[in-house]
Amino acid sequence: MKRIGYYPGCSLHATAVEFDTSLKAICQHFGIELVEIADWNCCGSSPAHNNDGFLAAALAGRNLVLAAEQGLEELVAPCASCFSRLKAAQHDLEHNEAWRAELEKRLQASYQSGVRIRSILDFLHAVIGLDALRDRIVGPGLAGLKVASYYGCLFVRPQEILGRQEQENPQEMDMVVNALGGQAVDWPFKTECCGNSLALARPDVAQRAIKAILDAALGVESDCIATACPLCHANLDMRQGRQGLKMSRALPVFYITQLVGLACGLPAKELGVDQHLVSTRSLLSAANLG
Amino acid sequence: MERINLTQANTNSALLAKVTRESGQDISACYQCGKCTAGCLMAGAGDGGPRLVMRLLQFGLLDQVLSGKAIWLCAACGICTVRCPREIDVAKVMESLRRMARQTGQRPAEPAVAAFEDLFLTCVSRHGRMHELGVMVAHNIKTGRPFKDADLGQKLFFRGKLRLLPSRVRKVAAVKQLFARTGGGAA
Amino acid sequence: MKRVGVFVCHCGSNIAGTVDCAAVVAAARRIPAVAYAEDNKYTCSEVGQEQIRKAVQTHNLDRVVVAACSPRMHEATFRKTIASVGLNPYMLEIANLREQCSWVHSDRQAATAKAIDLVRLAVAKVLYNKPLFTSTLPVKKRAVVIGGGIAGIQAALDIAEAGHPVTLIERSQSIGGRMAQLDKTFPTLDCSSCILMPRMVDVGAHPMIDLMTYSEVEEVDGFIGNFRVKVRQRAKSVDHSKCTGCGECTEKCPTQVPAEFEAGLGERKAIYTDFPQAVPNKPVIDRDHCRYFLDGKCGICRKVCQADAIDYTQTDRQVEIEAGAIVVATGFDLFDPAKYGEYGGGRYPDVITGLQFERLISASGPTNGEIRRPSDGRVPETIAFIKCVGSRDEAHGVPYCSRVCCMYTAKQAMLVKEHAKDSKVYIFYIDVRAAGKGYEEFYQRAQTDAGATYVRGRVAKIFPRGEKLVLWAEDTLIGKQLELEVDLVVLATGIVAREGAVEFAQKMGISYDGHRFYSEAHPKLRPVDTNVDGIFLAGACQGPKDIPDTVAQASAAAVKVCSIFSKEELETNAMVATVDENICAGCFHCRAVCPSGAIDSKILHAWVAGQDVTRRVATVNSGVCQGCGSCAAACPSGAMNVGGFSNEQILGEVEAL
Repeated sequence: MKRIGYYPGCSLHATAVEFDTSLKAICQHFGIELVEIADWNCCGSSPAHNNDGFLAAALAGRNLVLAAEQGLEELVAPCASCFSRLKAAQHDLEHNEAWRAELEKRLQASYQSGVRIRSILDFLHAVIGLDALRDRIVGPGLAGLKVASYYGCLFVRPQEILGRQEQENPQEMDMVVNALGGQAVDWPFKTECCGNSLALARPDVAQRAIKAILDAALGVESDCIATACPLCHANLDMRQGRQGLKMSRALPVFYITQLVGLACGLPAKELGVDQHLVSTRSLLSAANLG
Repeated sequence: MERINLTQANTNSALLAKVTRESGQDISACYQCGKCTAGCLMAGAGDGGPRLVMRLLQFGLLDQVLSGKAIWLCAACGICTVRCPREIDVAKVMESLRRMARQTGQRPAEPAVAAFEDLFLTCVSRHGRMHELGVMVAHNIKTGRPFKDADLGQKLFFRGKLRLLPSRVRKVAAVKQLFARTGGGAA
Repeated sequence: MKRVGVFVCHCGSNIAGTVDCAAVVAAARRIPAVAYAEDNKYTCSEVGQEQIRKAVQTHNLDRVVVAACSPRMHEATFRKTIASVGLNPYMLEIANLREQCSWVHSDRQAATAKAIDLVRLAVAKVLYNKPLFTSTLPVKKRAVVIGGGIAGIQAALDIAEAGHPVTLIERSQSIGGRMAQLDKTFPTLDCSSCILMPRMVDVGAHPMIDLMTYSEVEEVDGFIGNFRVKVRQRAKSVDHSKCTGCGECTEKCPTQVPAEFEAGLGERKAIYTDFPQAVPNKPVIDRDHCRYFLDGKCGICRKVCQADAIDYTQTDRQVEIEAGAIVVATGFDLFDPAKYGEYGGGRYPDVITGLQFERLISASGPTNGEIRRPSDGRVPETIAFIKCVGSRDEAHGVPYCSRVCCMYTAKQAMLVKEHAKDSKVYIFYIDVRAAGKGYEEFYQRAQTDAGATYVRGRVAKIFPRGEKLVLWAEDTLIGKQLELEVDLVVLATGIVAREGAVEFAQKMGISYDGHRFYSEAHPKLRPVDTNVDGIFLAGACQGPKDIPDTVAQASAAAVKVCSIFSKEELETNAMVATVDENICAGCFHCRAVCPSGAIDSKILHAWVAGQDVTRRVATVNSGVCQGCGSCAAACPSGAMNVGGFSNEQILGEVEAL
């Protein structure tokens, strides 16, 4: 059984609980043991780095220290924001000696470099593998399902930390959708911002971004959206139908891990597909899924 | 229309140098093509997008930038950065400006955004983790909109997506340690 | 007793502003071998040169140090000066007080100290200078022009008209190049073909021009006056001596291939000419696509050819041409907009390039000159032009301005008015550059007469909405975000160096810049020369250029060629390597490092103990040697010496430090 560190982050224990449960379900299915970092703390998300560079590096960095102490050589951080902050902290701590020394002093622990941090897409590609996904599809998998893969910003940016990659039309999630038998649609809003936490502080502002993304997904006649980020999911799912976001039809929003589970024939209940605000039932029954 | 007095404008050169130092970006490299603002999904709601911010900085009108809305409405998505033909990390400039605005101690032009960040960090410093329900309720109270998204909260609760009590880090003291100020500084 | 004269130049305030020239003169006077020293305001001026001449005569100087600007600037000038009073021109050294001292330092005291050191070094070196002499070589009076676009055509015609034979080498089936693809030209709106085609015909018919199409240069060696150019003539599979150009084969050929000439918007056959007015107007077979060559079937072209000109057995031929001068006119590529993911990255058929638009409005193009969308053939009601695509964009493309896009976009806007007068035109720009003769007026007419709406702002994103394309931009003049629905988007893609430009430069031994454009020898004073004597540049291979500038540069290159051909013999470089045959061990490290191929081996005979003992040593072809010194550095025995940079001279400098 393959063993990999797991950094759930705050959302996966609350509003994104179905991301957590669906990830755990598919890991069990594929024989992967998730080892949650004991006593992990919040990565600091954007409020930390908007306030203080060291604080941002230190909050996320403590988790890297814990992971190394617990003997974890690699870990998966499913939340895109957590992933991005952990990567950024790793980058900063490995380039800024003063910060690293300060962190070690405050934590009374030593920082070990080189913990491999995987995003959920990296995890699906490199740890499970597309071939394994294809092999484990039950029946036609997601056949007939037109999926708009929505990456958001944090899987591809910032480039100085994540490396140069396709910024406007990435393919990693599309490849997963296609491997599952679904049809990843070509659409132009894959990496536009969903408004991030402005959806909480200034919902009216975020709503413009959310509308642009949802309109684009509707425009290419997709059946649903796939996401890999709790905040993206919350913004696209919870705000549909609210003021200024009246939809011509509802557009269910899945976590990519839920789609993996559905294609592999896992029970819908284990994947938390009923926990969304936009109902997924009619779509899934039409597609004979769950 | 108010006339900007350029003669008086370049008074903030030390502060301006701080923007460059903090962000590591050359503000003078911007040639004002507007591609950043053109694609910004947030800029439409504010008082001008990143291009205008860069222009004001070029004029030395830092106060106007720090007291404006643009820096608070930036969602830090970074699409401006990757599209900038001069390879300026615009998002990083915005981040640095936000930090500087906080250091001035003046009331942010977007109090709701600043309040969210404050509450978020307070929560993390207290529990080691973010407690979504707690932060949302506190934010509603602080911004004087107690019932904002209350219906959402209810729906989320019934779907088992809201924790009523915060989850806590065992060694929360260790996390608190990280909050002591270092005096900022760029990454 | 050696007698050195030192002349310290102020260069106005260029040197004197930072260096205390009087102190340098005073220091020079204290050097034992210096018989005379003085300073001048401008040593290179007639007055300054006269001072040198006078001093040489009055003070009996036998060698001279000029402490002034870079030797690249005026070494030749001062060599002539001292030669005019009877010194060997190589009894001169330059101390570079400008580029290597005053321009790069600000501390006057330290700069003066450094200037004194530089003068001491130059004096120490000049003490070991020996007279050097040039020899002469005959000139081959034939020019090779590489590239058959308007630059190559113009250069070839000008040289040929001056009475010298020219070989014009073109890679594709026909000459004509980019200009043949254009519809009309700015700022006069005259038809590109109408002014180009007669020139093409002239080239084809000129008795002094040997036209080699479908041919590529494989190797160039030799030197000014005596180049050897190896050319591979690709097999045309058509015997052009028999072919009448009737076109029957092309008509009957069953294979369709995307046409290079139509920029991806049209098709050609596997046996083809680039375009109907091609020169030569005789087809070639594209063996990569021809059915006969792919699977041995078909052969229709041979069946229908009444002249029996189709020859599937032809093979590539290598031809060697001897030439005295070469003009490089290899042209440019257009930036590939697929790098702009935000503009669809090539996914949207109705987002096209400026060159594709030229084909759309060309009467001989795929739509017979009607502006129709590639996706559905509809005439667009609204067209957006986006400028600076690839240009002025470090993130996706190149930092420089491509110089032609502002004007060709204005022209295309004018042509929209002609071809689809009800279509509305928007042009997104950052700055408008219209700095040529009549250009600004033309740009204004694009607004007033053609009614194009200029919007200042770079487009951030293009995405489809139904059958339309949506553009997001900011109008930076009013500071508002814009959204615009259009039917067709034309990207004004910039000019980039040819694919393979670097490999080609290496074949020729010419230098290139960071953007792979070929470098002129001096940006202002030698704009058509390369760093290799006898090889000249014309057109956009040297940097982005419009047609008038290209033609002007081509004519300039032609004059340079003719000036070489006006002499029967050429002087060789005197500062070449020489071999001390007594110490040469024959290891030939020198040959391995020589970039000019100037080193040969020869066999020495010696009678040792009554026997003929042979020994191989290196020998330098002084006509080919460029005096770079690589051999001297590589030689383990110290047998190689470069004139003007002998081991003695260098060691003299080192000792003086």
